[in-house]
Amino acid sequence: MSSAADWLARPACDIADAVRRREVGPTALVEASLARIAATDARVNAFIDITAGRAHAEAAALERRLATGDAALQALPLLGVPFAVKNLFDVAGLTTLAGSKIERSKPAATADAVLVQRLQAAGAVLVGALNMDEYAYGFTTENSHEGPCHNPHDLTRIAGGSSGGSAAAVAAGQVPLTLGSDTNGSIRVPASLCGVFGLKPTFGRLPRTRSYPFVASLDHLGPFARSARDLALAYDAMQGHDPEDPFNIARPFEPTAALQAAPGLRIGVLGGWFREMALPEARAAVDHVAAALGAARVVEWPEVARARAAAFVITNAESSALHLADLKTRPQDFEPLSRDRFLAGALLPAAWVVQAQRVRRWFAQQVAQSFVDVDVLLAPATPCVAPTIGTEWLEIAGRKLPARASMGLLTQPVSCIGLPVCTVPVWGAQASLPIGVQLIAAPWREDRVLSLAHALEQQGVVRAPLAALS
Amino acid sequence: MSHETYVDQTAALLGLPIPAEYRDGVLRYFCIAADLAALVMAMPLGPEHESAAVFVPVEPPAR
Repeated sequence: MSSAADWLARPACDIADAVRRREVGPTALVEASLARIAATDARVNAFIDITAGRAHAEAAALERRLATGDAALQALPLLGVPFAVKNLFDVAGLTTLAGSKIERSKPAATADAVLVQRLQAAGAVLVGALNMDEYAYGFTTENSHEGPCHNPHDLTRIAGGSSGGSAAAVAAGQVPLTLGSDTNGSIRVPASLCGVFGLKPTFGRLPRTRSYPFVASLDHLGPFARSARDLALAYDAMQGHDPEDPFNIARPFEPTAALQAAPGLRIGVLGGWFREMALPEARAAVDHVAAALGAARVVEWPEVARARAAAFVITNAESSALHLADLKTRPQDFEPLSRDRFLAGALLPAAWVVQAQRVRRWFAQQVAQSFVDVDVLLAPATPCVAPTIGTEWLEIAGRKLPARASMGLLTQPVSCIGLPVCTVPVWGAQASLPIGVQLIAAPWREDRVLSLAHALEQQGVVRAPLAALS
Repeated sequence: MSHETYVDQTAALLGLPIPAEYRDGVLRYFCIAADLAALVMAMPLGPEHESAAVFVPVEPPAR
């Protein structure tokens, strides 16, 4: 019989099945997760808070209901699955730090974020909150207050960001499922660098209620896991309108977890900017997936550089305005890596921001046309594999570019217009490290990217092995 | 007006002190934003091109 530690190393769907069969219990899984965190997190630094007491209490409650043969409980899709969330999600009893020092003096949250509540209602058990770039403004999780999050596949390298802890915890086998946020790439970049699956749903799909905002115009929330099926289970459990989030669009429940194969799915490869701003390993990863799918059609979106610029301007202005009071009175308490960018963003002329929102709409309309002829588009998730912690510069397309900002070059134009993306991990494009490929669909077609990710996984084209951490 | 002058005067108008030790970094990031904004501003758009920012009116709570 497998131990709880063995089960913890399996996908969440297998864990829930094992709990249903009574082969492992929720309490043993919580203990296995806490033990794995204790054994590895001094090296990875993914966790900022551990909710051991809550996790034990929730697991015990599940055990009691299991003992009664509760049929409704048995049907829960994430029964007994330990999970953790980026520390910008409210967790009752914890202060929502959002990676900052400034928020440490704020009171504890009194209720869980809606998505935390929904995962708990699906049977999952929260074990903690995860490291991130301060206020989500970064792509590296080199958090100066909490220390950098280390890539579990090579501890000298970044995990990516801003949801670095969310990707690293999954890659390290600490939990099989996490939540993060993505404004310009903050799910897709760390998923790429840590070699795990990540889903950024359509903008407005999942409610952001009781999560700490970064850029209201662009923020998305979504899951990380080691399989596409786990992403689909978690995503389905989190669907549903919440009127407290004005950006959440009321859509019918559109289930994805059946992962129906979609014969005849038309696949294209994004060219232009998405090839030019990618290093050889990123292009090779896309070529690997495209070859497996027999995808030869190249699609070029117009004005990608302007769309990326629009996302940058909106992000810089909105996020700085959000923190203006603290920028005025205590700039020394901000993350040094993003403080000057926040201060500069507070000064942007209104005309730039208004025009950026119009460019964004124009770009969305142009891109919508491209989905008349294709169903899913492929693009690299990051320009390269994970750089070493502290890397300042990268050479991309013959230009010396700042490394930290450049990790989002290939994700920003896509989140700018809110398209659903599943990032899938490719191995072999570089000697020893993974890199992600974005599977991009038209709005509200999460089913397509998840089904395609699952099919690629079944073919062995993409995979998310646990880090050895030896 | 130079970027440097704009930054100093806008920060003063906004009541946002820029400590001396951060000023070079702030100017550097403002110039990065300005370069990217130049791409945005050069996009030829007419009055028919709407904004992506859409407001949702708020209904009164049910009685």
